[in-house]
Amino acid sequence: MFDTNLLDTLKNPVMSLLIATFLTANPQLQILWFGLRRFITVRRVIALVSPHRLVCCWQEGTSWRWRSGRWPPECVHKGVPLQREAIAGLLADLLLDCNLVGVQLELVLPPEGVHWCVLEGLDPQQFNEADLSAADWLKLGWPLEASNRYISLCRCADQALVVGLPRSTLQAWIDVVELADLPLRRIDWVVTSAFRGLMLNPGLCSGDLAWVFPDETGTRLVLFRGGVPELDCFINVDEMALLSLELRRRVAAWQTHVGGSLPLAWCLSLPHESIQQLQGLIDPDRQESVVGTAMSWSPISLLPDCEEDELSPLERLALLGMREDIYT
Amino acid sequence: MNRSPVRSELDLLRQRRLELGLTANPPPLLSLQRLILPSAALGIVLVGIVVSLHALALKREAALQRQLGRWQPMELEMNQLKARLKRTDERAKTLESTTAGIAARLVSIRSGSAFLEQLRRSTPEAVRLQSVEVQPAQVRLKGVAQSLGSIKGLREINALMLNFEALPGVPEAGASLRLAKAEQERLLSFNLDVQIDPAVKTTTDQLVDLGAIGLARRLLLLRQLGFSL
Repeated sequence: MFDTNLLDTLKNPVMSLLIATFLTANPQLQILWFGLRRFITVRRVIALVSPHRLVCCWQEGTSWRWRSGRWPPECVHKGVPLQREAIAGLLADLLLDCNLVGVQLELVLPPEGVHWCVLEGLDPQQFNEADLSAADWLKLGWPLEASNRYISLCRCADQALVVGLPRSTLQAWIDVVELADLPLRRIDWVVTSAFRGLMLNPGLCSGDLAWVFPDETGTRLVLFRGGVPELDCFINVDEMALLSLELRRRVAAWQTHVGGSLPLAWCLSLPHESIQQLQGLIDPDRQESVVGTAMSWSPISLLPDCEEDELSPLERLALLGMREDIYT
Repeated sequence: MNRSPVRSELDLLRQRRLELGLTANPPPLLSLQRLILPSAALGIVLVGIVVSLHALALKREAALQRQLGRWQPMELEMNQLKARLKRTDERAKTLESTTAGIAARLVSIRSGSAFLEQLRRSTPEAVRLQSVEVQPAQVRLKGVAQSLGSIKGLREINALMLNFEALPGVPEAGASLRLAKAEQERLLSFNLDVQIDPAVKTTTDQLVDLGAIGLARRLLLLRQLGFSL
């Protein structure tokens, strides 16, 4: 449940204009006014971090709005915030520009720097992090040491999905939000949130799915069967033709490895031009299809005239997966 | 770490919160409506109660005012009657006190015959009274006492004083000899004052005994009429 802005609750636009004019004329009252609004208003704001920019998304009334701000170069590298103060400043300024107060921040981390795996054979209803021994982690080939990681479990079909990241990375992002003087409510990962958004399509839970999305320096391919991720691989190829060949090769290898002949759906969460160039990848003769290109839901940009301000397919999927407040 | 079933949603802060001793999940966000509406509803109910009570009080006040308007002439009449009753009471009290005074005076006047009879009984044979002066609280007597010697005369005077002091209306040591002087041989003149207690009333039996029948009847009649004498 979200609160609308106190100014917005004053349905009369004339009254809102009068208040804004009055506050402009009396800047000493602005602090009091913002304090009052911060005290009364509570608002969920999703901050989606990508390697190049920050996207903030929030609900206003029945619609969702978003706005982005671009990082300075080399601000975020491999999922780690390198210039914390600059990032915190951008985050705080962006929220202030959007006239957002009483913010409860939910941070969505970029694809890089976070690890995930599926635990097979464990009942996700009864299992938690403490049930795994060090040997189990070694068998999983988990790259993070037990003493230097934060993990979280979530249900994925009938399996348990483990997501983890180094303590230092999480602490760095916590520091960023603290520097911005904002309350941090939740941290999610763009891949899992976008995956949740993707799985809102009911047809994808049963067949095979090849999900392609951009990484900081390349392309990621995640292959699903029955709604469970089975393979996550990184492809560092710049040329689209080569990328298409590599994707096809890896999908074929995976299908050979897992067996079965379920129809494959492609979800290309890539820029529009890249999708156009990868159209030859889809083979209708093998009953392959494309999903996730036409999404019915999309938040409204606060600056609709700005051409650069456009959500990428991955960001849109991630925001779709983050819409629901899990702590209601 | 607390055991909890795996949720379908991810939160990488959950482990961190547990490390800090907080709950695994943050508290749910309370909307403005959810924060304010219960208090507002309570406030509206309280205001409604107060307004209702005020309306009831106004209604009751109006009813009382109407009732008061109806009772105002009665109140005036009652006040007038009270004033008249008070005046009547005062007049009655004045009359009662006047009547009581008259009755008291009627019975307080000492009967002359009774007094003389009492005087005769109290006076020894050897004593002859020459003058009697009666005052409200005192009787002054002048007389002579026959005596064979001066001692005998004084005895007679002393007997007279004792007789007076034995009377109910004379206080103890109420008789005092002012003068005793030998006039002639065998005669001793004296002046005697006898104090009278006005508070001591003569009873009807005493009056009858002294022969004051009329005064006794008058006293009886007044007592029968309710006068406390």
